[in-house]
Amino acid sequence: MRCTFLLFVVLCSVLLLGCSTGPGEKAGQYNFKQGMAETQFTFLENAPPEQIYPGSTFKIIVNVDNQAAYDVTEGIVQIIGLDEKYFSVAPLEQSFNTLAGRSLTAPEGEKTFLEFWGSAGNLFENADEYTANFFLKAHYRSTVDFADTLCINSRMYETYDAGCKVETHKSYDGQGAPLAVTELDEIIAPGDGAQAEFRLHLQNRGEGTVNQVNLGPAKLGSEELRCHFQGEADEQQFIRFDEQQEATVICTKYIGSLNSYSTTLSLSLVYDYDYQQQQSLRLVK
Amino acid sequence: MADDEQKELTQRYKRFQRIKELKAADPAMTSARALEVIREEERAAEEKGRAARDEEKAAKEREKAARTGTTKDNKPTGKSFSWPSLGSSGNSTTHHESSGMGVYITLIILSVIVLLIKNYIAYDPLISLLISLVLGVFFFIAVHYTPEPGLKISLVLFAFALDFVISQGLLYFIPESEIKNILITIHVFIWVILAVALFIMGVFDRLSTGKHLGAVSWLLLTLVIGFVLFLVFPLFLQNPLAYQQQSHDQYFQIAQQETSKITASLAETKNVWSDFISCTFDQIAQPTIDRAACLEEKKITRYCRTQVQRDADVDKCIAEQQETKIAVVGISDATITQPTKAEFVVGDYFPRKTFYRQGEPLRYPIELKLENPRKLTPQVEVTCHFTRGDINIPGKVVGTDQGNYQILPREHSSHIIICEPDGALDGTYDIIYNATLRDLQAKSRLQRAFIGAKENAWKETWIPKIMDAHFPGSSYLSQAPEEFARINFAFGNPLENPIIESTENVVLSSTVENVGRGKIIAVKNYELQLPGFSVDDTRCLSGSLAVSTSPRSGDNIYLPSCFITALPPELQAPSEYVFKEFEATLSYDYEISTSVPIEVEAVTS
Repeated sequence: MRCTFLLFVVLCSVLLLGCSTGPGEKAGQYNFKQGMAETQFTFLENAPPEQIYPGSTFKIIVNVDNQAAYDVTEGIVQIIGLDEKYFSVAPLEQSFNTLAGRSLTAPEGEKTFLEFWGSAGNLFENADEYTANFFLKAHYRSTVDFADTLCINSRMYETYDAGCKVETHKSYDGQGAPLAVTELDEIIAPGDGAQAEFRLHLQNRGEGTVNQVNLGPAKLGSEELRCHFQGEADEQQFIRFDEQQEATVICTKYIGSLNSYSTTLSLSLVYDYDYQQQQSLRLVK
Repeated sequence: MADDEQKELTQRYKRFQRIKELKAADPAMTSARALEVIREEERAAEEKGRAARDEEKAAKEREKAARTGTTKDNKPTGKSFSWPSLGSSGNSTTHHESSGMGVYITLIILSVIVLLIKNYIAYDPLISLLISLVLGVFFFIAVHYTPEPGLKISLVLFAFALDFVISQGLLYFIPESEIKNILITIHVFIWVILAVALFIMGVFDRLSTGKHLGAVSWLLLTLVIGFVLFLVFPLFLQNPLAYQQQSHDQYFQIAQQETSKITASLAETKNVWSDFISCTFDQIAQPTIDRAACLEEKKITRYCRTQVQRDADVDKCIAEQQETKIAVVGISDATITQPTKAEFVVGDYFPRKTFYRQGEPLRYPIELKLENPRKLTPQVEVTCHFTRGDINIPGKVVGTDQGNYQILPREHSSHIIICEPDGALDGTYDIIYNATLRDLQAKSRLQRAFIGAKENAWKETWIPKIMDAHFPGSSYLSQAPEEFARINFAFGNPLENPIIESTENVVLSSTVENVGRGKIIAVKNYELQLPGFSVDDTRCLSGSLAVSTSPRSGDNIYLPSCFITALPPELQAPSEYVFKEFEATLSYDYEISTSVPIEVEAVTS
């Protein structure tokens, strides 16, 4: 009797623990704008085939899958580096429409397929095979939004202030895009006419390369923030990433002499992104 | 009763008698104690006997040594055997000092005389063996009386064994081995080499004991060190062989060829060093001089002086050589695993030795085998002739086609060539079969990447990617199947750079390389397929060439070079880059040959 009761209790516990909220509710709680994610470019299986025969035709089908949390636009996919004598591919370049990023309404992101038609030439003399290496190159434009709640305190030396505490340095693991704000430094010059300076460090964490980054709207709470890229003129609202693939955005704001308060810093960036991937085709006898 | 039993019984009786005597002398003595005493006495007697025997033997040996002057191991009395006296400070025995250097000089003279005799008798195997035996005995006796003869005797025995094994073994049972020429050279010169080696060892022995060499020894030493390999051997080998005997007289020719190769290599080495020293001094005097260019110029001048007679032609030759002198390297195309091949195959039943009766035909068949995966159809012309030394007997190829036929477009083909001599044969000869393959075609391919004018940032990003993807290893060089000859070509700035940005200083050059074992007879046509390219000298794109000297394997025929002045429009400014492969075609005639030794014995009845 006692054993049976004990078994009943264990079973109930297991059932209760195993229960959880449905996928809809879970998805609703998930923030896609975190971490690192980017648009994936992959070949479909057997397109192209592993071995291609002289004089035959084949297809190259590229699966473009947006796994980032932001839409990608102005996308172009190119096939570069094939010798027409062996492999003739048309078209060599294709564009794709806006692909939506992952969101509550499209948690899987949006994907599309691009088809390239190819035909194989002949092998050189009585060669057994020929391997052609080429690059799949993609270019697109996307955005990344940064937002975080910060403490603003122009009276840092006041003895009594029951408000928030300023965190001078914060780190982030990304905002769901290859371009990420990785660190934020908050520098406040206290006193009358207090000024807050925010330094956001940008870094490319994806497998491609970031070309140009344009500053979008930046706000501190509901007020506009003035931002510029470190090392560039204040009026210039864009920067070209170099080999280092990183940059710093500096935003400043006069905060006045107020008690400490928490507010949201938000910044939007638009960037051009290039991605290339080496692939190969094999022509066999 | 057997002897053993008898002996044992006698011994037991003696022991019994001895026990009685001991007990009589000492009544308290027990039998066991008496036995112990007897055993000690027997042991002592045995040792005494052994000592006596040893003493007797030693005395006999001393007596023998005194009579013959050697130890029982037949070694000279006095110093025992040790390694040669390089650096040793021991004294040689006075008995052997008297041998002096005269022994070695005598051996050198003797070996040279034997070389002449063998040349005279044309290396008949049996007579050669007899002479080697006699010579070996002379050497053996001579070195026996020199200081520390152990190693020298071993060398003599080794030389004899080597001579015997080579002449009677290797050259007899496997006359067509790949090291035949080396074996023959050793067989011809082994005794002279040994005599010289012994002489040098004798010099070291003498000098290490603090003694002086005589004038003759010094002179000979100077000759040996400085000139024996350059003067003495070629001097002997210049004597013509005018004997027609059933013997291996072609050995001298083979040894002469091998020595000539060594002499040519040494001459070339000397030339390289003298050019190097000369150009170095020129560069010191005038620092702007490029030493590599200076060395090349001297090499070209020397080459042209040997090729032409008149000074005007020499200048023309130098200009031509300098103009075309860009060596382009190529590699074998790894994707072509079945190249075209042609070879003569000697069958197992080839008549290497025949008995010839006057009036009967002598026929020597050989197979010309062709692996032809591309199903080419070259014309083949086969000839043959018979040689022995300076004698050259023409041969004719019998059969309906008489050695002239066209290869059918098949992957494998085989043709039997039968050669008949045009004259009578008697003795040993070499049959030389030559097959000229006409109108062979060879193709090569070269890959390049055209990027146009790009920013540094793009180049820094993409050029490593392009090199990694398209030009791994040596694939920036032109590639061709590993066949008889190939055309290597390249263009770029510099030549081996596969990334083409513009036409600035882009050189186009090509070379015909002999990668087979035969000879290139003619370059009928070459063509580099570069559609849309402009050059400043169209001779570099196509033409034909007269081959004045048939290049041996590994030699290059330099084709004209030029600068590229314009690229086709699609390659001038690509948005990213264009990767393209170009082909070159070579049409040529090629000759392969083989030599087969035969022996013909004339039979009168």
